Amino acid sequence: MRVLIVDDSRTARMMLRKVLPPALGADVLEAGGGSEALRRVETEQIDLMFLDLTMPEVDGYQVLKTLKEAGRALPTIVVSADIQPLAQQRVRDLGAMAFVKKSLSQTDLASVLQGAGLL
Amino acid sequence: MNTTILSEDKRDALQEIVNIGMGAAGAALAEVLGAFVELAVPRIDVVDRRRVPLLLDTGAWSDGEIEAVRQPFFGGIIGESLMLFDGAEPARLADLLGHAAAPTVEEQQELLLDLANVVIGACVGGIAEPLEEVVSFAPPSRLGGRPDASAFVVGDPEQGREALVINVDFKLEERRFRGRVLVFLSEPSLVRIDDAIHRFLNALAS
Repeated sequence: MRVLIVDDSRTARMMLRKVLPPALGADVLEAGGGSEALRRVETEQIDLMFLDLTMPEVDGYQVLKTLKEAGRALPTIVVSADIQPLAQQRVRDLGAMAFVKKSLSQTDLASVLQGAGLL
Repeated sequence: MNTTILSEDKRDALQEIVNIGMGAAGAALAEVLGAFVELAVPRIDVVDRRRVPLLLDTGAWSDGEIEAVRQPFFGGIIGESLMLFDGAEPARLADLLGHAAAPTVEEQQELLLDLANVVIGACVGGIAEPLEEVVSFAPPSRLGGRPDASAFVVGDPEQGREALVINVDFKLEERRFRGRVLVFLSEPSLVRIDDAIHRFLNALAS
């Protein structure tokens, strides 16, 4: 499975890589911002995206909105420190399949992936 | 201060740690204020303290009056935090509180101190916790307006000439009410944080 991790923080991308369950068999790609994520989604085969919300320039909301408007159905799990209920509702309205709080454990992530039928 | 500490990777890590702490603060503020809180990406800068007042006069912060609250912290890491509010006029605070009439001076100050306490606690506490440092806070106190804040951030020469500035901006959606957090760390504390982040990154890479 080709997995794209989108976060402006290198540390955050490392933290997420570390908790990806081995059973996912992920071939991990990274993007350091929303624009790069959209370019990669457009030009490469991506099966699952982990998306941060708070990023400079093109943020996670804009990525989801762009994909939704383009009719591109890409399984996306939002991984964010912004845990406001309204933020969680907004990303679901924009098509995200799940919302998880930074920083999560491998067990928590495995549970989310199982719930989404991805593991 | 030795500027070779807090390398780019360590700043990135500290920024992410602050980001996680501020996420919790944003949720707490949203609950208190009944509004969606827009959070900006935190910025980490090492600056000459004499230049810090310029941070109070940049971009969108260059116009209008501000209200400043300070809150010292101590323990494993020691420093001062400054919370700046823009849009804290009585009428706007009345709107935030859901009051028809302008709040009393005491109510205004209480609200600003409470908000500062929540945000600074999440920001500084958010830094300390993953780095396994224990921090205590003095009560927040009103500092005053822009001139008072500028005089404060120039600071005591005994605190060192350079400061680590952790800059976090937030605003309320559809309302003119913004906040900025500045955190100043003592040089020994900065060394402790540098060491702690080093360990944090090593654990992440192992």
